[in-house]
Amino acid sequence: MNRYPRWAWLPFVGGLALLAVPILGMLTRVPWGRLPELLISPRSLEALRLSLFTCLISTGIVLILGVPTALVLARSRGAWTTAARTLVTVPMVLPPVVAGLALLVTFGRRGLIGAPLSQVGIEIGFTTAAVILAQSFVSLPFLVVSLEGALRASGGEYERVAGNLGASPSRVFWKVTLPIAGPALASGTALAFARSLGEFGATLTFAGSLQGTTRTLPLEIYLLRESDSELALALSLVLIVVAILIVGLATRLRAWGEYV
Amino acid sequence: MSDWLRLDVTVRDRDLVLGLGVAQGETVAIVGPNGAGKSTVLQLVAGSLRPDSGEIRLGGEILSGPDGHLPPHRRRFSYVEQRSLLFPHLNVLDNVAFGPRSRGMTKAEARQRAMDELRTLGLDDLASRRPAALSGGQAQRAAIARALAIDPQVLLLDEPFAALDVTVSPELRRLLHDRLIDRTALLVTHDVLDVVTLADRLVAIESGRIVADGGVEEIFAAPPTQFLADFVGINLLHGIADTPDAVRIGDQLLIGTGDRLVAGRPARATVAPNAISVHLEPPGGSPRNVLPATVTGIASHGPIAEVLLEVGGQRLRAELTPTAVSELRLVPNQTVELAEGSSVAELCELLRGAHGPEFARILAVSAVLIDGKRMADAAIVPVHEGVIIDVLPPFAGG
Repeated sequence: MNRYPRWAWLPFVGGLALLAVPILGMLTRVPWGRLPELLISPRSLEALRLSLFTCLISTGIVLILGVPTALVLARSRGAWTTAARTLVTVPMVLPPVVAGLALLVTFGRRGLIGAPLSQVGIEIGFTTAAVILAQSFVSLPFLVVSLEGALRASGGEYERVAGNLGASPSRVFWKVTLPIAGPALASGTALAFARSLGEFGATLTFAGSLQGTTRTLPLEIYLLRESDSELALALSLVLIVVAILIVGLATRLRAWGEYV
Repeated sequence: MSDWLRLDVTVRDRDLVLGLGVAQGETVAIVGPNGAGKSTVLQLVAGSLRPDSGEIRLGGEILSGPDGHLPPHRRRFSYVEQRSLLFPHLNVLDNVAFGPRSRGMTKAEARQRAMDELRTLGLDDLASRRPAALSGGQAQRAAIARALAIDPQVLLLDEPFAALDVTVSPELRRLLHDRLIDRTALLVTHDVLDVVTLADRLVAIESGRIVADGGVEEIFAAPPTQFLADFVGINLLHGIADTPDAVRIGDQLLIGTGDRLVAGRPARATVAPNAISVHLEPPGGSPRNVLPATVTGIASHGPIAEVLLEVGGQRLRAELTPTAVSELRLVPNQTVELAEGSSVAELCELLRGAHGPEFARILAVSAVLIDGKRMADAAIVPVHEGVIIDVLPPFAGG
């Protein structure tokens, strides 16, 4: 027996089509024959290298800052927690170009923090560091939100038990909290990595588009879309494949988390 | 006995004010209505809750006080709860080894210690299993092993059997009883069987205050509050095991059957009030223990009448229908024959002594008839089904 009205099929098919048709359409235009040649071109390799490098570093930063943040949010109560949780979630829905502008006026040469740094010779705007900062800014919430949910669901009971058994708070964190949250941590990390990899608006606004320094894959694709559409399509294919892998991995990990 | 663990504390937002001392080696059961503050006491001892004022001491050392608070991981108390809360990412062995490892043992030593504990509790076959692959009883047994593996100074038990199937809890109770010998434990429970089988002392908490504190026998004989009267429900008779299947109470014998009762040891027998019938003359041919008793009081509670009896100096409460009471024309201080065992009687034996602990297994057995008038050479006739023999905890000083 159907548990939904039959007409629901119509929007269902429409929704799927909306999401799938453009991707399929693009796949038909990808220059499959010239793919290897296009992907090893210097311009392509440079963008790939820069994207991989910045995403790995920003994901590392996100982990170092995000895991303890999620833990504190999950284990605290009170008005300030709600405020902090809102603060953490806002960048998720903030238009990236706004995020980039916020970063620019703060860390740019004349910014609140950028100006004093500039005095001592440290420039952040329009450098690779700016790319990493922008990526960390937009992807941190993804990790915190998904990890916090998992930590809250496990409720801190195991941590209390471990404490009674004699484990210090740090030992509890490494031996109990992290392993139990392992699947959620891994899927949150994958999502944050994906968000960093796809980051465009904040990077363009805050870091600009300098080949080899700040021009990551999405920026390169945007730039190439008219001048060399075949290369743009080839690079897009790379991002699609990575996206599919990450979503698959995250789904698998979440299922594993429920099983454990 | 002097206090080893001593609490004199107040917790304002839970309206708890109490003073409680526990001697080394003693098992104290804490009972009380929901929300009375029983679990709060355990949290205070464990250190997960800090009292607003007052002190908690162990030996001479202050654990919690105005000048400091030792966090849980710096104390040596284990906590067993209703749910086993085994770490889901570790197998049984590593769950049990977690405590010793956290307290400075090497990995190999901790595993060795854990394996010994698992063997004692009959879990060594399951050492490599994940908690998800254990039954409820096995998981709770593993939780007990994990708690014992740190050699806790005080074992804190918060309704450890409440979530278990009734077919599993007796075995676990027996295991726990063995492992509680010479250990200090605080046991929060809603189950009268836990008290009868495990506790030396009974403390009742109501609305954050201790309302009764004494030996299990004294409180069962005269429950001082309504909650305790309802909680106790059944009668407790104490005496000495006479044979493997009988408890001697004064010069009377209460019979059931047990395969490992040891004669000469202190024993407890519980008798349900509705399992007692009262006769003016010895009942003929009826399947019962028959004991001479004296009626000391009668009270009516709507559909039932409560008759207070005295057997060998101990108090028994019988529930009869008002009709039965009026037919008997009972008056206090009249001697009557007491028949017991018409539905369920529980004979319990306590076995703490020089030769170490032993337990009677729970068995469904036949009750037997004893002619109350000819005790010495009574004809013993098996008659009634449903008598249960259960184990007993030590008497205080037993």
